[in-house]
Amino acid sequence: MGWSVNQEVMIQIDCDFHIHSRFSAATSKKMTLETISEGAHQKGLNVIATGDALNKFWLEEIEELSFKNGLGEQNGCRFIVTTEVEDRNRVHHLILFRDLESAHLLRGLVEDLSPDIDRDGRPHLRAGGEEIAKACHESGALVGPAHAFVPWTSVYKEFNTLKECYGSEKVDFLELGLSADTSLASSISELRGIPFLSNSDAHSASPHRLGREFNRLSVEKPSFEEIRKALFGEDDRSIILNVGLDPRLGKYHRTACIKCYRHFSLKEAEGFGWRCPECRARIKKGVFERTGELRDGPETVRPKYLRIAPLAEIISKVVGVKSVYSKKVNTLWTSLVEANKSEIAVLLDASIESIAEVDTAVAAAIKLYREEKFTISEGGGGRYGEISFDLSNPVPKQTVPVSRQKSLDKF
Amino acid sequence: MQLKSTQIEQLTKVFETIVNLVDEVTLKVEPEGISIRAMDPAHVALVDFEMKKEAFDEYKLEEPVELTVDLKTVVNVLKRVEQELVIKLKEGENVLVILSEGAVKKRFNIPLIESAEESLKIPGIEFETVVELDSSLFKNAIADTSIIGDYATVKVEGDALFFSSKSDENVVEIRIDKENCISFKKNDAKSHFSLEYLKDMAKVADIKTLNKAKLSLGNDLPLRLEFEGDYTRLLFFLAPRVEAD
Repeated sequence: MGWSVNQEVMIQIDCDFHIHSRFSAATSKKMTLETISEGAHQKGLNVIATGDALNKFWLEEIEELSFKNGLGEQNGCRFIVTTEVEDRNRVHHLILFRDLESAHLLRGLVEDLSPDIDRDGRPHLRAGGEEIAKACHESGALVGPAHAFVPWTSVYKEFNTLKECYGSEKVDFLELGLSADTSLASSISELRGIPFLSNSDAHSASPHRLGREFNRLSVEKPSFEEIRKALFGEDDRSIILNVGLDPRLGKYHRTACIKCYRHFSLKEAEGFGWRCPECRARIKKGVFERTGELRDGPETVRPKYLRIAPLAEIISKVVGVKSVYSKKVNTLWTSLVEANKSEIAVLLDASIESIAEVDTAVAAAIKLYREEKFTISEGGGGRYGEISFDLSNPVPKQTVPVSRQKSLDKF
Repeated sequence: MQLKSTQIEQLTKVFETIVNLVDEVTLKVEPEGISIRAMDPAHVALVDFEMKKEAFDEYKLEEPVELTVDLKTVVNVLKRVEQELVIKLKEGENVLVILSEGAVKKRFNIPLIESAEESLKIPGIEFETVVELDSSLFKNAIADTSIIGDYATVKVEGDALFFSSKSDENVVEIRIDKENCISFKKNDAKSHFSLEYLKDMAKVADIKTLNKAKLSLGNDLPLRLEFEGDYTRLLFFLAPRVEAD
């Protein structure tokens, strides 16, 4: 994507503020700073989170980066020092550090509260949200709820208001999470004035994960202070775009059974005592329904939220390759992105003809995607939603694939 | 829980086949034996694996457990096991312990990961065409077909099973007559399948104990492909490709 001039002295930067290193549970072993910076470059991100900066082993690696204005640098990619922590109520908080010193300061304040600070990238803290937010602010860090509406580890699964969690401490932002977007959250009155972030929470550096959500900021230069100003809208700096997964594709978007994924209305779920009548597994409240409960005011004006579907997923659907991680998808993804500068350009801006030069079948699907001629089966209960295209009809003849792969779901 | 086996190669090869479809799996360890059911992320292929407890030299189990693991790591570990394999759970921790007993004793600890808790159903299709043949014949047919194209047409016509593929001017057709099959329940059927998947599935033929392949077919229906041995069963479903008009 590269830097692009916005106004006289402003540049636009695409930033993903939430990922995890290989020191967190269930993450790819390949999540090193080297692979993260390569992945960010491929995706077109300008600033990427380090994640896990309270873990001393990871912090030692972060310290090897060359730092300027609070951000580390490797292979032309800027790193913002970040972490996520889990509090005693199983609520997750995202923390953006001013610099390395700020991370060390917070580590000193919370070290004794954690049983696993050096065993896990995302440490558990024996403290509540207020105590954690206070410690963050004392350390010069910004803090806010991570994936705020998901039913397992978020502030709104545990509480009905931010105040119940954070007490008198203010939060600096709220992370929407993959199953929500601005439209779902902007009518919650207590969130007025709190900036929304859209981040990937990636556990691997594959293009399907890293930067699947990001924030486009207008700043003077890449630095922590400029990012802070953009979040708070100071001195003409701003968040100009939130880009993220179509929330219907998120795995906790709708209320559903966590085993058989049957969807329920809130009324039905309550009637069944939050147990699935078919398989007796738990029913988890979806983000759509939870935000519906919380909405209590008029919609506030927010930066535009651009809903996208991962290009790798579209490719895998079209070419009938078994996995979004397969070599075939990756090769095609790389060719498309190299020919068109970035994934966003392929999805939204590049001409269908230029995409067709790389692959006619993908070009046909992108055309349908842009014309919104696709269907989405909504996610819920822990299963991602799915996008599907009917490639049999409106596609020009030269772009029709020889044959198309069916899914076992149809049988 | 403690499972012991000297049949390491078979388990390794089965897992190697499954890992081609899916990275993370939940291994169910139950009184009757172990099992895995998994679907690839694109929902094109499903695998259902069972190995009865009799296949193990020792099978101690206090209560059924479900172990969700990064299968690639498990496969890499199994490849380093010599003579005797021991699988255990570390008390009080979510860690799978794999021991290699022999002249050199090795210990591998593999952390369990959070299960996605996906419950998968086997497609309930009644097939009228079922052909059983030596699994090496199946493997060779897939190898021959994949030289030419990306997808194979598999059909039963008359008294023969055909595999064919084409690309540009190149064409390949393999014919296996009824007499060379173990059993042949005939009804004309024809479907197309991705060879990328079929090649991975055909690797099962390298497992000596799984020397019979049973193909169930229909018209534009999934392929049901079953390999069965004395104590082991490996079943695949593969969604068809459909020719565009």
